[in-house]
Amino acid sequence: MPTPVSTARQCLTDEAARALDDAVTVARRRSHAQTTSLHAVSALLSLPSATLRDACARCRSCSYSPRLQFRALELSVGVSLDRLPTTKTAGGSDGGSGDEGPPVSNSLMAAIKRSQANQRRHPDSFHLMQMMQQQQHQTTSLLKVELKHFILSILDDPIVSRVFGEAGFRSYDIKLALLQPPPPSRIFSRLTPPVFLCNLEPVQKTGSRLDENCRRIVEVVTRKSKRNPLLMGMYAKTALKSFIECVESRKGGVLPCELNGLSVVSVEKEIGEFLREGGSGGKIFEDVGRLVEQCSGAGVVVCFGEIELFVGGNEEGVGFVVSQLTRLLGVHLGKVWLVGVAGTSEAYSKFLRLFPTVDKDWDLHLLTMTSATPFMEGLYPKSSLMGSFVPFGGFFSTPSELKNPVSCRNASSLTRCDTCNEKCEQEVADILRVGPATSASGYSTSLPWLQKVNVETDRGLDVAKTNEENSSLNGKILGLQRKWSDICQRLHQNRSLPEFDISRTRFQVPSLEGFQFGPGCSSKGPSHSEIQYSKISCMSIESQNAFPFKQILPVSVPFDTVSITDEADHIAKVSKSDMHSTWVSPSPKANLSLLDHTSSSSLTPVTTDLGLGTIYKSATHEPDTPKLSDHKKHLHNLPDSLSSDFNPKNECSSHQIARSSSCSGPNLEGNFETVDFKSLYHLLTEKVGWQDEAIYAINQTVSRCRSGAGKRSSGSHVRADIWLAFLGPDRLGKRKLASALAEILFGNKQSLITVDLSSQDKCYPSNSIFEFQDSYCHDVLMRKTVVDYIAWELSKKPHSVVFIDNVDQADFVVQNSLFQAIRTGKFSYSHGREISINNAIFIVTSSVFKGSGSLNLEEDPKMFQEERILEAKRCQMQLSLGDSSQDVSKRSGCTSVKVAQRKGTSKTTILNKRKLVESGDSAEKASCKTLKQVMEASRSYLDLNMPLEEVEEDNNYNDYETESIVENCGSWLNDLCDQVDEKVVFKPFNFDSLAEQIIKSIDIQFQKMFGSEFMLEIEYEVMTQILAAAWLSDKKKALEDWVEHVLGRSFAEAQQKYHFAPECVMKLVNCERIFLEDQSPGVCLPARINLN
Amino acid sequence: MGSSILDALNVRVEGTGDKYLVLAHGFGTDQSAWQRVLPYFTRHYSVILYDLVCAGSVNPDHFDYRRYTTLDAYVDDLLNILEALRVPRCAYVGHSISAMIGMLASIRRPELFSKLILIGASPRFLNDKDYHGGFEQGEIEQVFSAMEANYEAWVNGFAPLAVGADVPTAVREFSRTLFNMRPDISLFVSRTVFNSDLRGILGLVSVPCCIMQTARDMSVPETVAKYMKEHIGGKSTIQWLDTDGHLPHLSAPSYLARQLEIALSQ
Repeated sequence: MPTPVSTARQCLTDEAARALDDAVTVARRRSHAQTTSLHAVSALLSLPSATLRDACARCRSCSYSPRLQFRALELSVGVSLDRLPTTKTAGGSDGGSGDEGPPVSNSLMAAIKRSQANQRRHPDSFHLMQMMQQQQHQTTSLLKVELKHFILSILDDPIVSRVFGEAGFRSYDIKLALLQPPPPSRIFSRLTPPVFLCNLEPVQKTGSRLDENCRRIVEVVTRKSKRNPLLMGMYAKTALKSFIECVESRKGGVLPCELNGLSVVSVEKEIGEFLREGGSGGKIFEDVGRLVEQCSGAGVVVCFGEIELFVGGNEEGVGFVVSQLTRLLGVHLGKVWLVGVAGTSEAYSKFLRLFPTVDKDWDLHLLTMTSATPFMEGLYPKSSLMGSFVPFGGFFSTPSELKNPVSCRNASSLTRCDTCNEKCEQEVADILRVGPATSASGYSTSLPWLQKVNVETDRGLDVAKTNEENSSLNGKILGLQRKWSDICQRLHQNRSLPEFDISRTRFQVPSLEGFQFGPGCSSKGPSHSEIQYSKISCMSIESQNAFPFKQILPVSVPFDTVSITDEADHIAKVSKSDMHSTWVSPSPKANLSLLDHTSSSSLTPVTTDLGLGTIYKSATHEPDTPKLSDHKKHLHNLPDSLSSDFNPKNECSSHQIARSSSCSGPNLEGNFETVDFKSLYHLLTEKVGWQDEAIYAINQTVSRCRSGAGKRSSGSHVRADIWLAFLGPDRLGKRKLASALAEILFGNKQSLITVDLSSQDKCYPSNSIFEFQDSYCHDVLMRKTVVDYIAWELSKKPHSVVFIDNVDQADFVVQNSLFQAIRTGKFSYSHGREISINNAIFIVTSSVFKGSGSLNLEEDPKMFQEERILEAKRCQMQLSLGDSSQDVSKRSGCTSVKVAQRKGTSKTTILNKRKLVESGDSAEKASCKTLKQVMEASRSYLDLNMPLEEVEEDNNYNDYETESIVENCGSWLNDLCDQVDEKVVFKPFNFDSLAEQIIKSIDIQFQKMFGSEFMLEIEYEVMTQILAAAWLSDKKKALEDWVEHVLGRSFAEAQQKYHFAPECVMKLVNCERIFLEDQSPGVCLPARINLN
Repeated sequence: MGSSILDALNVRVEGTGDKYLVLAHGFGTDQSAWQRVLPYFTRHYSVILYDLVCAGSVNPDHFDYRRYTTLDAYVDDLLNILEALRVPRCAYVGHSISAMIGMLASIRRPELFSKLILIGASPRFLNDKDYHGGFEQGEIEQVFSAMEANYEAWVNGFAPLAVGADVPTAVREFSRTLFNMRPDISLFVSRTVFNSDLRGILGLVSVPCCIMQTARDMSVPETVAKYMKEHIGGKSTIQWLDTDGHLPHLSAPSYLARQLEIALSQ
């Protein structure tokens, strides 16, 4: 039953009723039988400043142009209206409703009713006016519907929302836009000023037409003191002009009431004339004075024009003007204002120099006028811009440049398959309720991996029940399940895994480990023996865990029954031993012996981070084995947590818990277990042979920490991160060791994250021989902060050695992060985010900081010092013939290869290094001594260089450390070093003895070619280059090869080419300008030596 | 009143130092632009961060078109903030428009500022006779009409240009904050900036200034930095930054932080 229009109108406020009338008109025009919501929409949209249109404009999607979208909407409404049946009979003249037009349809009426109800429910949302209306109409039970609510209800109509939908609007959005107030910029006649701008409000009240510059002038003028504005800046003149206009035009309510009747008089022209032409200046001011006296209003603003006029000469005249103006102010106190402009501050300061007290006398207030404001008038009604308005402010979250590792992990759990998860949970529940035997049968439908996991828990639960009767375990297992469900998710894709054999569910707890061996045994022969081994040794769970799960095998291989029985046996034993709580504390040695077997295993850096109960997967490194690693995680998780559950019951000390769990934790990590510590020692020594003590210390520390006895592991909280401080000299040695550690412990060299904190300000000079060594680019650090860089790299490869070179130069942020990391195991980076470092090895180095047990490095002066070597350049070398730079008496029987002094030094002191080929050790020592003596004799080297070194260092500090940081440098580094697991002090690399060796071998080559008559003089720079190359080279023989092949060949060529006179010496020099093009393999030295 | 402006402009005070340091962001960014620079200063300073009223992170209701037609309104805000926080004296680091604001503020209240560090600052962006500000009026009008026509497209084109250096994260960050600004406000503010001319009043700046100028700043030519150094009333130095672009605090934060440390300690 349609409602007559008049009835419907009674429910509406005037505004809404008008809208309804419009709708009725639309319906009548189209000769529709009823007035529907669509008509209402059409009517509402056709209103020029309609609320609905406005709301649409605000919520429209930004992918379309607004015009287009409105057009689409109109079209859509039109089409829908066209579809409605027209009834000729119902048109206009139908019965009583003839005047009113088509009656209101049920749906529209329902909308009105809805809006009524809605309005009743939300009285607080009423407009103030509406409230008042309500009070007036309290007696009438009929609630008048406001237009807004009317529109809202109409939008609820499904037909309407469909129409809007066709045009790309969502009625929900429109509703939201209706409810939210439109942006303020559209309301120009706003009632309330913005609340927070205190200094504005008086003016806001008084006038809104003032532009900002005028407003500020007025503000000054209304003040009690310093009330005479001097406008300064490029826009001062325009501002003054608009101010004068503003005062003169007396726009209604523009000026505050105190300034009512304010008038302005400009004497600028007069003053200008007076100053140029002279005459009676007094008349000007008399006129002004009279004007002020006549003034009935607030007073007179006297505009004296540009300061520039006053400083342009004619000082007498200016003095007169200034004094007259001062007088004017004094006489008509409070009724006269002065206003002037100064284009630049220069003019003003000149003026001040002429009249030092003028700013006091005139009570001037400087106002800077830096903006032109004429554009403002035209700007805000610009609606085209409003059209493109996108209300997105604050909507976008910061896209973090660093992938937040934490959130990544979370993400994985969030994205995990729901059903998987659900099943997991549900099955745990099943287990708890039903028990192992029956529950196992229920898994056939779920994912294979899931099954496995569940069965394992199941077993765990079984044991827990039988052995422990520990009710709290249930909860823990639930927790475990949840953890596993994460894994499950990842395994979700891998359905090719063998179905779990339910028959194996009988195994007892320790059998979990045995079971875990299953795949390993079945697919790999040798591992069987390993099982035997473990069986015999009756190792504790953790050592078994340390066992090579790594050797993971094609998973599709079905389990081997034989191995399973083996396991069963073994399991029985272990379980027995377990029951008697004979926990073999995992001494590193035992581990080692086990690990020996496994050194051949694949290098898959995968970790179960038990300390945190979080699982990492470094999938990037081994995309081919993800499920295997996951498998491992499954396997490892359970025993670990079980063991920690059991231990208290077995009345082991908490220490043991820590041990066991830590063992099963870190030891499983990556290929760590594949490395025997003894072999670690060997491997490291191979790389950096000269630092045996340091290597020993490193080795000790690593093994100690890995066994859970690290400094920061306490109680049940186990930390697997290792912190080392490499102190002392030998930069390269430290770096090499770090890289070797990365390679050995984590499987590849890419697991090294290197940051050189000193390189933030200075790079290696280009063409440095060490240039290549810096894996880490200066540019990156410019753009990222150090901590961000480290965190970013760590998030990519959590199993890494983080090598922070020159940590003593760490800035405050890095210091903080390091301290936090060492304390909490979380490395914080920008924006307070954190990343776990639980699998990383942090190495900080400092060559400045000596540590507490500072070893004396200043034993004796060295000919070749590390700093010099580090400066070595990669240059092409050249053999040339020349005069000896110092006459060296040739001795028969001993050839000489000598090293010339550095070019930079004042006098080329040649250190004649005599090498007796036939000399043995003793002779060598002797020569060493002579070398030393020569060194000491030629103090020039030391005198020139040693202090220089210090100066440089000081400079460095001054340059890039703020003082406070320098102050704290020592103490914070001390603190840091106190917390690291081990301070490893490095010995200085003995370049001199290396030099001797090299010289010896060069000598052999040289003599071979030239006999003992000639001398070879090697430039100091060349020697440092050779030494640096030797220091750098990984291969032991590389340098010898180079000497033999490259140098030897060159000697041969030289011999053919050059004719030697007895007084000549052969010189090996570098060609500074020629970069090293082809490099000798394995060593950073030229592949060929130029001859000239 | 005091607290309301602190709320409205999202004023934060970070750090524990007894000296105050204001980090004021420039056009198109908000205080988050300083997030990577901030940690370097929290130990030695109480760092005051705030959003300009035009920033996307501020409720657009607060942006009064009548009021913010000149930079002085922004100066009022800054001084009000410092007053509300009862800051007796502070060092001020201002970027782009905030550098202008800082200079103006220091003219009004020289005793309040111990040092101004002006990053990417320019007294006037438009060219003039004898002055190369980097922009012609015509170019600017084109920019404005581009902004009006399609703000998003303009942002996407402008952000990489402004950042200059090839640092995608910085571009992303700048685009985000720039896009957060309401287009009309953004346009309005840029008009304000381009209509401003501080050349006449540089001589009034008596606080020691350090002008930080990057190598290739599309908004500020190098001559501008020199011009400023010559004309600023107080002691002023130029620190040439070895990085590109108009937004070194986004594109090279740690480097900038270091330079700031040095400049502040001088």
